[in-house]
Amino acid sequence: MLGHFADIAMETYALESALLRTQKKEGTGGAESGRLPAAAVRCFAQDALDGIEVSARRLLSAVADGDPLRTYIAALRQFTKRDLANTVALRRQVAEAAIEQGGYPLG
Amino acid sequence: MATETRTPVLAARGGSFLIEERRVEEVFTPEDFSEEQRMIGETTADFMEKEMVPRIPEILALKYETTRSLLRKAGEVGLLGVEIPEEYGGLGLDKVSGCLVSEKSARDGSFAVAFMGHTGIGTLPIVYFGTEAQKKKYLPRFAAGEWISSYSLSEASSASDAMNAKARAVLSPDGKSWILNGEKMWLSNAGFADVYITFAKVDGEHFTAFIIEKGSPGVSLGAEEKKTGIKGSSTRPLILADAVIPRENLLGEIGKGHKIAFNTLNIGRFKLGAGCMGGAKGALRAAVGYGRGRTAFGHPITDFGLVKHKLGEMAILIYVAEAMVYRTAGMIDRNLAGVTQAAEAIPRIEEYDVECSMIKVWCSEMLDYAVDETVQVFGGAGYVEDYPAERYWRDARVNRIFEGTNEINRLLVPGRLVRRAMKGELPIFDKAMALMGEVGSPAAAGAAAPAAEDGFLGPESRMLAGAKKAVLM
Repeated sequence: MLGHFADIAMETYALESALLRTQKKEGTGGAESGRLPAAAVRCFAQDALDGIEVSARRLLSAVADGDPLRTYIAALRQFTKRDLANTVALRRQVAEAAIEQGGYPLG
Repeated sequence: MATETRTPVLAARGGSFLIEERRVEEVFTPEDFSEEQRMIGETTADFMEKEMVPRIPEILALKYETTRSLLRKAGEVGLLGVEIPEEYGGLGLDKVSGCLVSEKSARDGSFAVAFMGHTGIGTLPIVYFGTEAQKKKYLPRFAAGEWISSYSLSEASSASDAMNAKARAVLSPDGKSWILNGEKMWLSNAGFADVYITFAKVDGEHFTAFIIEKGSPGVSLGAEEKKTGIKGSSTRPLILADAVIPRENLLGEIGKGHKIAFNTLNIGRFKLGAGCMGGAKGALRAAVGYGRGRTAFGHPITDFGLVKHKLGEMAILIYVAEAMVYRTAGMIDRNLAGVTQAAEAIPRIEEYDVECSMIKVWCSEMLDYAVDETVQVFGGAGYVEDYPAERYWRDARVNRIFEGTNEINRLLVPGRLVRRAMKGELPIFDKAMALMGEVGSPAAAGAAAPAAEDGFLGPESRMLAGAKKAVLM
């Protein structure tokens, strides 16, 4: 259970760090400098939320059952409700930059 | 203690990311590196490329003299003294610089372990807990690479539960020496180290740190461990059989060894994250390089969607890792601003123990993904020693084990957050109670409802808000 909590916390810290970095990059370097990092963050955010949902469901199922569990799961769905992004295309966009540059393209 | 990070980032409370919102100007990012920080990063990268990489075959053959001579050369260009204060022969740079050096040193797993074992857990216990005499004796030699250090907390029957150590220390009848008995395990650099930082219980009760010099009476080493990876790194047990250690070589205070052990690991953990990130960049470079040149069905395999998925995912995860590592380093540097005494620095670094553990876990698992998929991109060539992919894969695995297993670090995250909440330092429980009151109301829909002021990455900002609520529920 504690491990699932840690996983949720880690993904949250990771998402916030990447999001703030990208917003800062766009704010200081302009839209073009933020384009590829934005694709990376948009893709990561979807995966992070997926992971958070899985970990939270496992954690909640271990601490509650019946009606309280149903209430928690409904709240979780509210918290993590989102419009899905095309992560296949976003990931390919980053990959193509890596292929073109011969390695890590986001530094 | 160190030069100050240029950007005026916020020294937020450790763990406060769960309950507070941060603005972009409050976080340090790689785009904020100063000229000095960039230079130390470039110097390290240049050193590794020109001096270390050509000698990887010798390092992997476990030629102690090769690793020692490379460390000596690294000392000559200042790379071993980045976090040693200037008055003791170091450069006295900040944690951001330390992370950059760790990242760039990770061109080869074996050498990176030797390098970071010496500059990190081997050196920092004396930087932060040594007496003036100990600092003057050891730190200039460590900075120069004249003496190499090694650190061990584990024993055959205690590792994650380090406080259960069986090694014992008693004062000699004349009161001039400590007599140590026991066996410590997994000492990186042991075979060619001059100094071993280790731990024993004084009178069988008080967990205490000691500085042991090579060649002291009763001190010997066991055989080299036959490891899965990092084969060019020396790993041997330290055997203490009525070992005679000068009384002044006790490090810190009797019974306070845990403070040294855990704080040293704290710093080691987030720098390990930086090293993993550097290793993942190398793996990605290798995977792209091989994939571009390898054709199948008339196309480079990098044209195929499943290969692109792997390469894109690696790059994205590295980007996220960079953001986490340097954000944390920037916070620590800001929290250390104005600190001149080592003892004062410790609680200010300890403030970020949750972040350090998270980075250790996240980055080591990210690296394992990257090296595993690098093997896959190489295909059959990824499974033979003629190519580097299998070595990356073997070398990476230990990062999930040493410096506190990922399981221990996962447990530390909630444990420390709850301890801070109980002490009234972080109002996590209040926030959680308020959140449960919101459940079912429109305000709970963190990620769902677009805000009127939706800006750049607005949907992702709302997803983050929802994630924070998921943590607290």
